[in-house]
Amino acid sequence: MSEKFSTPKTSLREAINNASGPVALSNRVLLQFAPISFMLVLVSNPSRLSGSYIEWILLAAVGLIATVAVLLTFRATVLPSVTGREPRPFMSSIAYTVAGAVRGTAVYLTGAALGIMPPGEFIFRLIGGPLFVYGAISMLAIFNASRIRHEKTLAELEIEKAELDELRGGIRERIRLQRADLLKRVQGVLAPAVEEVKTQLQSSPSDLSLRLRDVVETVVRPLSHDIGKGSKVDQEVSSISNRAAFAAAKSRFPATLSAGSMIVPELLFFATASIAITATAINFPGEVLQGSVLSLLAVFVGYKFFQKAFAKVWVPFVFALLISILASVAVSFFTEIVLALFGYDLENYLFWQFVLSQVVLTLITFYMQFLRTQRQDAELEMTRVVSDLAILNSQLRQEVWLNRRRIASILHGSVQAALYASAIRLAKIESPTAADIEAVQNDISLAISKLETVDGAETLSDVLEQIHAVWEGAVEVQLPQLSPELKAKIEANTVASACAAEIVREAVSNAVKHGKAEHVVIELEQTGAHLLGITVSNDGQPLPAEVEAGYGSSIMDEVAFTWQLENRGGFTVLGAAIAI
Amino acid sequence: MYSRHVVVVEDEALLRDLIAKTLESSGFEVTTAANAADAARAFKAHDPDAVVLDVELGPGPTGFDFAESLQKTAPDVGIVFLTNLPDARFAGKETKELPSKIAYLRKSQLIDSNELVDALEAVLHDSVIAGQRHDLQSSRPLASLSKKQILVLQLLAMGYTNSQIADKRGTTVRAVEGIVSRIFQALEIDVQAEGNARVEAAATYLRASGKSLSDI
Repeated sequence: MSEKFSTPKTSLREAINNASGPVALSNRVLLQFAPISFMLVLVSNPSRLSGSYIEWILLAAVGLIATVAVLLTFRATVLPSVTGREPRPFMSSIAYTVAGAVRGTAVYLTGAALGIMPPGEFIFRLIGGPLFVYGAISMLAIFNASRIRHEKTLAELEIEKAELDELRGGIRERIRLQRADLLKRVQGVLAPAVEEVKTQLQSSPSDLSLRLRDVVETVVRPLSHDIGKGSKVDQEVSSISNRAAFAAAKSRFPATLSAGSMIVPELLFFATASIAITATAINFPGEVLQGSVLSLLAVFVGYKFFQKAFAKVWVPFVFALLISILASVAVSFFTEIVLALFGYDLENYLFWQFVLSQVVLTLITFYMQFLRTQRQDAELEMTRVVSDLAILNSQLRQEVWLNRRRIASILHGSVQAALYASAIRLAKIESPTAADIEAVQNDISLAISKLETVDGAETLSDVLEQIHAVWEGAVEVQLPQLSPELKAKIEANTVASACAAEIVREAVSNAVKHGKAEHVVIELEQTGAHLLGITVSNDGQPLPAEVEAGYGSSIMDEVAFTWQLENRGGFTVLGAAIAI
Repeated sequence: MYSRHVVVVEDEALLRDLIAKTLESSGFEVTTAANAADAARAFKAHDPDAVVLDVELGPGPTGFDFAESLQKTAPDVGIVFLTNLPDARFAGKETKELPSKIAYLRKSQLIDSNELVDALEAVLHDSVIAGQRHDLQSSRPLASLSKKQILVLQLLAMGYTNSQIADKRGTTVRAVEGIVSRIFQALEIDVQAEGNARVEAAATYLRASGKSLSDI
């Protein structure tokens, strides 16, 4: 099934706020207003009134200049186009009314001077002008405000992503350093040990040094291979980066759209206002108000019906466009029928002009909604990318932590223990035999073979059982009941499993040691697609007002996606989430 | 006939067996455990007199956790820590948080296995001497630093900046700068000399802890 691209809703409040906000009188909006202003004059006048196209172009220019001059005056005085200015609906309404009225008057007077404007036109131009200016500027303001907000949101997300990228880079560098450090340490630990053994076995067979060099090779090689190989997160990083690039470029073409969401009755209502008034004023000069109200109501109800009816109809772009066009034609017919029922039947040429204007307005609305859909998708995608990156970074931190523990286990676990044990044993033997030397080598080889299973030998469930067993008799530890699905999911991720175990261990240990708790409850649950929630509550002493950051919180910082410690209902509660 | 029973808690089989044999040859009855949970079960089963306890026991509860639990359930049991850690600060704990009548031996100083037997006898007779507390020796690594300074040094060794350290500790950058400056002073690191003082401090920490970046 194709991916659905939802379109943001447009509210009347948003329309008013944008129409009266700082974007409304920006240079960009005023420039975009120009072609619409020209188009309206040229579409609705020459065919019904006398005069050449040259004369109407002149009138359109006069109307535009008059409108923009008034709006610029308001902008320079009481409606500055400054970012952050609060919307001023009342003052803006005055500005649009004045600008519309001046526009209507200027067009009428110029037209009258040219002999192409009958006296009856004055009243509807005085009414239609303000409505047109209000409607057109509102549409453009919504469109541009959405674009500006979109760019701002994307910019903020970009910054967040860049910060996460930088953090990720830092963690990667630390992982790299760890790996290098590991190799150095392994050699550093083994070399003196080998020397020591050699010193103690001066009378031993000559192949000892060779055998021990083999040991170095056997230790170093598997480690360099194992730790040096690419992390599984590399591919995820690459995939996420591609998504981020897509989002930033706004380049995803919607697979399917909600046909209803592409129709915006509120915008079409405003945009139709001046046309409807013009049409009724021409046909029914004495009943402009009734005719206009009826036609606008019909337009609004008609588009509202199609918006609702097709809201859940998800179709490809072309079908959505066709549905919008057909809806505009249908609404035009519906309006004509309503007007006819009340005796306001439009002249034939006016009706077809009305149909044409509805199709054009619907196409403009469709285009705006389409861009808004794309923008919303880009923002959502970018938000998802940032969220995924945050999870990924957390997983990387987990890897760093586990890497460190692994290094510790290797250097201070098997290998070092083998060397100490050999040293102690050999110290007791006055004259080592070949069998003794063989035993030393076997011990070291055995220790090395453990490298493959340093982690993962014990599951989270094993560790929880251990915690319960260790504290039994001292503290009552209540273990979580895990569903088979969650248990399988945790244990499939050895890194997250080890991190969860460490968080629980540290929390229980602190509860007993610092809180003097007698009862500890551990809870685990999946709190998100990639998050495991851990809650450890205890009945010990409440937290002091200021908890000093220490070893425990340092581990939490490293392995937890988020964590907090708080007093809640008589309990001290550690809440943590880890990426899984 | 064994007169005393000891539980040896060590996750490395080789050392565990070696320690067990050494103690058995010295007249102790020995039960071994690979982790703290096994040790807890062994305690229930045998009610021993003492425990030889490693601190780092792989995933799960540490030797310090088990010692804490023992303090509540069997406070009369003698404890000998046998570990790689120079002292408790390297695990984020104060030395004073450890039970008082314990012996603390470092594995690297254990070539002479009699030292372990002596320490065990000492904890059983409440007669631990200074030499059996390697964690209190003035010659131990970074002896002059406080727990807080060790923690900051650990973060510094991990590559965190002063600002990040301040963030983690919930203090100001100025406070961290003060701690770092005192650490340099205590470690006798010349901040004016050629080379990076932070790198030198980190290297000193790594050498002292003898453990790369582990347990940070």
